[in-house]
Amino acid sequence: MSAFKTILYFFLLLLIQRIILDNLFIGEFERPFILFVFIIIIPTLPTWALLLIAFLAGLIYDIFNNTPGIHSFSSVLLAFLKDLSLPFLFDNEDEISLGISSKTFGFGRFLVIALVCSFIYNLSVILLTDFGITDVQDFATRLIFGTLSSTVLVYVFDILAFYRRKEAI
Amino acid sequence: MGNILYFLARYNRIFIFVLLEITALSLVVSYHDAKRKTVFSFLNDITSRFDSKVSDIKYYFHLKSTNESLLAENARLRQNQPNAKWADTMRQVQIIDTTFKQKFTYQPAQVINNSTNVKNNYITIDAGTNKGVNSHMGVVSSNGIIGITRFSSGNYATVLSVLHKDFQVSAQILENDELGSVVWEGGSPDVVTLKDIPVHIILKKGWHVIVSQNSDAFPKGIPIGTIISFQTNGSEATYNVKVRLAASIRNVQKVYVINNILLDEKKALETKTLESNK
Repeated sequence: MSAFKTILYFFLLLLIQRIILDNLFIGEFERPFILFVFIIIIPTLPTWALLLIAFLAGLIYDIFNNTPGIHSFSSVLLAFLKDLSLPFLFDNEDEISLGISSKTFGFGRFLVIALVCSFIYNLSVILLTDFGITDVQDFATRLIFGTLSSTVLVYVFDILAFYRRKEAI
Repeated sequence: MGNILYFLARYNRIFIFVLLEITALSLVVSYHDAKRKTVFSFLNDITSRFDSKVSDIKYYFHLKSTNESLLAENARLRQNQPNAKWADTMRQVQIIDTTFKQKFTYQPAQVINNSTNVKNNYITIDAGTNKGVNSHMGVVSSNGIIGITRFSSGNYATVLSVLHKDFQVSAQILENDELGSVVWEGGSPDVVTLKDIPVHIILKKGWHVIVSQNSDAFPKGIPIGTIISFQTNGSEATYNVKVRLAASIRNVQKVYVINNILLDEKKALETKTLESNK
């Protein structure tokens, strides 16, 4: 994926998050996040560049959202873990350049990756928002709901963005 | 020296990771401190401009309900006009009234961004320091209380909405003058909790909760909501009173920012008193 396309995807995700998801009303639950998909789909880069881009991406959303630091922290964490686990996810070096999507991994394995990523991201955001765990039940429901809804969104976005192109080839 | 450079190069990813995470965490902490208020105020102007474009579009979908609430307010104000009343006396005395002077001024503003679906909710309005809006000013809609301004830049201000865990306002039950404080404990964005009402007080559903005279940011009597339920928590000496908000935070479009002209004088006097105790 070219650099231009990646930047385009970032702004698309930012618009979806800001215009649609942030205006959703779902009771007492945390709203679902989709912006971190950017961290998953971003092509392989040197570690310092990846972390810096993740930090900036999180910071841009933080400024919109009046939550300085929370999403930057979570994005950098996710990017770092992605960078660490990349060698274990791929069988050979050639596949790494293709990036993470259902196209390269198949639906089953991609589901696991999406689930783990959205769990880490939601956990970090909820912990930083509350400054610790005060109410265990409330914490658990928000974490589970946030993780599941984010996973669904990641999947839908992945299918809309990448799946059709596979058939075209 | 060479060894240190080699060490840094070998583990550069860890160093960058830790550095960025510490930066992010310090942002979180400094914002929670609320002492260094101007972290993002210069960038807020840019993001607010984007939000105001989105809000312009959303505004059209709420025109009908906005109109209705403004009409209702107009009707209420007209009823209080001198020409809507009649004199129940034969005496005619002309008095030049110098008793009343302005204490609160109202600055109208438009909501351009609003959240009600998270734990700490903020509203952004399109009036800032250029229109005299500073931090810690009360914000009301035509129906009732909305929040308190937190930060303001040139053309915009953010409002700590009633639906924020740090929000608290001194409240009073209209029917029996009992004082308490109103907070939001999460859950439905239409329901807040009135605390500190002793259990020996008699309460009724449907009674009105208003802002008390102890509030700095709001004039007395601004509606907060009506009581929908109250219960005691075991051995506690106070009620847990649920109050339905008079103003729906979710749909609010037009607000007024209230400036208490005498606040500085009051604060200065209070600080002086506290210092004289030391």
